[in-house]
Amino acid sequence: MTEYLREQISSYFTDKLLGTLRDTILHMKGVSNAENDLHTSSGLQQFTDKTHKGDAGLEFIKHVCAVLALDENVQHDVLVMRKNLLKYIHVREFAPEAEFHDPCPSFILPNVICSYCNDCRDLDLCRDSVLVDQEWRCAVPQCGQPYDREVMENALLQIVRQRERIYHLQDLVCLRCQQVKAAHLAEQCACAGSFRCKEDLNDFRSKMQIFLNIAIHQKFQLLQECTSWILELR
Amino acid sequence: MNSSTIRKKVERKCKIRGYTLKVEALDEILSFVNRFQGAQDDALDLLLDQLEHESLKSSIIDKDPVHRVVSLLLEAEAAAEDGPDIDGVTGGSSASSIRVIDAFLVPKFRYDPIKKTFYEHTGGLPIHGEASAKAALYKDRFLLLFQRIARDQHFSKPAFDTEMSHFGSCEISPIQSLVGQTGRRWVMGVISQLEDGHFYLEDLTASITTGFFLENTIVVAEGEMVLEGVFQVITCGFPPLEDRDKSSKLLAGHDFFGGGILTKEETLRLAELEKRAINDMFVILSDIWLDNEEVMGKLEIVLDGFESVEVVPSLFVFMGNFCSHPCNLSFHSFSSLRSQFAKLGQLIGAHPRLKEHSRFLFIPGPDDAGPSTVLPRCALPKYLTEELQKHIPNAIFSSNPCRIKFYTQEIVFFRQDLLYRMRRSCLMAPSTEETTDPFQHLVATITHQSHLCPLPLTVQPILWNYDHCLYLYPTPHAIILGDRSEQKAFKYTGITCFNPGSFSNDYTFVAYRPSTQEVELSAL
Repeated sequence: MTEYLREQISSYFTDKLLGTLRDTILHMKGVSNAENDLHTSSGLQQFTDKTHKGDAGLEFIKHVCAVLALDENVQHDVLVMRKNLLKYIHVREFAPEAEFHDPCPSFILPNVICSYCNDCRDLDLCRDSVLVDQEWRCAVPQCGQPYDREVMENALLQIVRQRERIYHLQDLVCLRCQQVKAAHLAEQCACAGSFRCKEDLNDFRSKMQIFLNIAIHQKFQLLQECTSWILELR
Repeated sequence: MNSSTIRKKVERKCKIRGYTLKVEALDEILSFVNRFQGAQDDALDLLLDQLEHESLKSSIIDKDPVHRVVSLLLEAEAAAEDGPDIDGVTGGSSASSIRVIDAFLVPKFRYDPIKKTFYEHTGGLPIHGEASAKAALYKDRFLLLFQRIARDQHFSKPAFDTEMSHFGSCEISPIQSLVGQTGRRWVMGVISQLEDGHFYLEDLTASITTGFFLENTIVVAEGEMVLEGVFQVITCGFPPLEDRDKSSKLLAGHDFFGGGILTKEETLRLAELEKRAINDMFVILSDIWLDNEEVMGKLEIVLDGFESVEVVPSLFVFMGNFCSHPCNLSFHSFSSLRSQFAKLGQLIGAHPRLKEHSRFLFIPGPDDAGPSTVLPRCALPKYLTEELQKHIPNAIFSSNPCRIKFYTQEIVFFRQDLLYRMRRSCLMAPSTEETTDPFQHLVATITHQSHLCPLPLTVQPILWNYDHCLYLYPTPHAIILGDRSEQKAFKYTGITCFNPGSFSNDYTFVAYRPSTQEVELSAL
């Protein structure tokens, strides 16, 4: 079975994807040409061409390969295919733009209990399509009881508070020797390296942003106020 | 100064400016200047400055222009006296009497040990600081006390080697210099727990072991270096206090408190107004559980009482916690809390005189709903206070801690169960030589450390960039610590310090008269 799949990837899939990629690039080129008919500078046209090509085609390759690479058996062949596709659009294999980033961050709220049927489950608040669209209801088919909004908001608020507190209690780590800082007053490590936060500020902010988005989406006013204060949004 | 000297002074000053005074004008000026006993020179200067702005036809001054200027100045004074403006920005002559300064708006000053001066940190202060901010937090605290101790007469370097002071030379030596030296030396450092269970004294250079007081406090110790890294302490104590006036002289021009810098004339004028404002009273309550029927009933009794008083209090300070349930996973009825705030608004609104003439300040408690438990805590969320704001438009919601400037008096409010937490984190029991009252020990600790909350950061986290909001430097005139322990008041080296006690538990509160710094401990 595995052999068959690997063979399929190196032949059928590679050809199909190359074809689709070519069509995509041509299409994007057509679109950008129509746009750039008004522009006079040819240098600019070339530049926008490349970026357009990069954007759509690159994203396509990244997403498809990321999905296919989930199967461990064919991972190696998928990577080879990926390298070839990237070569076609002149992007280096290990370039930062070729790295796949999950566009939809996930947040799982643990131990949500339904007040009616006492069903306990973990909810993925960002990815679960049912939750994103409608009001939050118990997933048990016979139940369908909407979850208590105040309980949910409070659960999220407590997580936010806890994370904020933990940020300010975190250790500082030396950039060079990776040791945790022990002294209080010293500005440099004993190895003369400077310190960085163990939990990076940008990671922290992006995680908080998830909560803010949930709050805005579900109209949790108190949670929205608290998270916007943490993110320093005026 | 008797009248003839004043007269001569007025005449001389007018002559210097090229004015020729007529008799009526001179009388007018004299009557104005004599209103300000003790501040006559400044009043005269102020008047002459204003006179310059007037369009004068000739250098001979008649009664009329003087009269105009005098009435202008008196009007400005009356306007300031009439009633406190709402959140006034000092605009020329009409400054408001009560100014509330949110902790996040306090300017940040850092000490430069090389230039030996304070400089203001301009630019943004993010709530989430970088790694360097955490080290800077400790360093700034240390330097603040270090520069203070350097000016103290006992610890300053002798200028001339031949003169020996009575106390011997108690110069502070950096810890690094102790290595390889014998003899008694004085050291100053922060108590840090560098290894589990072992406490070290750390200063800007190195660390050595010691063993007491509170972790993270800065102490001064005298002793001898015995073995490698072990410093035998003979005496140990907190850095000596600096008189408020001495600090102000040094820091003149730097706005440490946040209330804005005042010119000398304004300071004098405000001091005069402050002395005269004997009817101004602040009523302070802490721990008001809005979801408890009995507490609301008692609060109504208090408000009824103050409604019927001849002069209503100018400011009511309501400190948290506002709910008997702390904000944690088990409590989720925020909508009912919101309606309870609305009910409080209606309750206050039912007292028309208070609504009209008093102002209401709300300071959140440690367990109130909000973004975090890290100090300084921002004001209560608008979601909870919207309804109350509708009933009471001049209610102010401020941070915890909060500073108030009453004319020239600096008052700091802080709601935190400090006494309990300090006693728990204490490394060694405080000596009962001077006093057995734990509240007095608490006051001594925070004033000597010049910091409202010298607890270890793991016990009470602090925003790294906002540690300066908790400084008590220069020492304020009054410190109000909302604590759930019993009501207490204590005057320590000129600082009035009191705890109104928990209103919801003991039904105690405090009425404070700022002009005389009088504390009235009250209970129901």
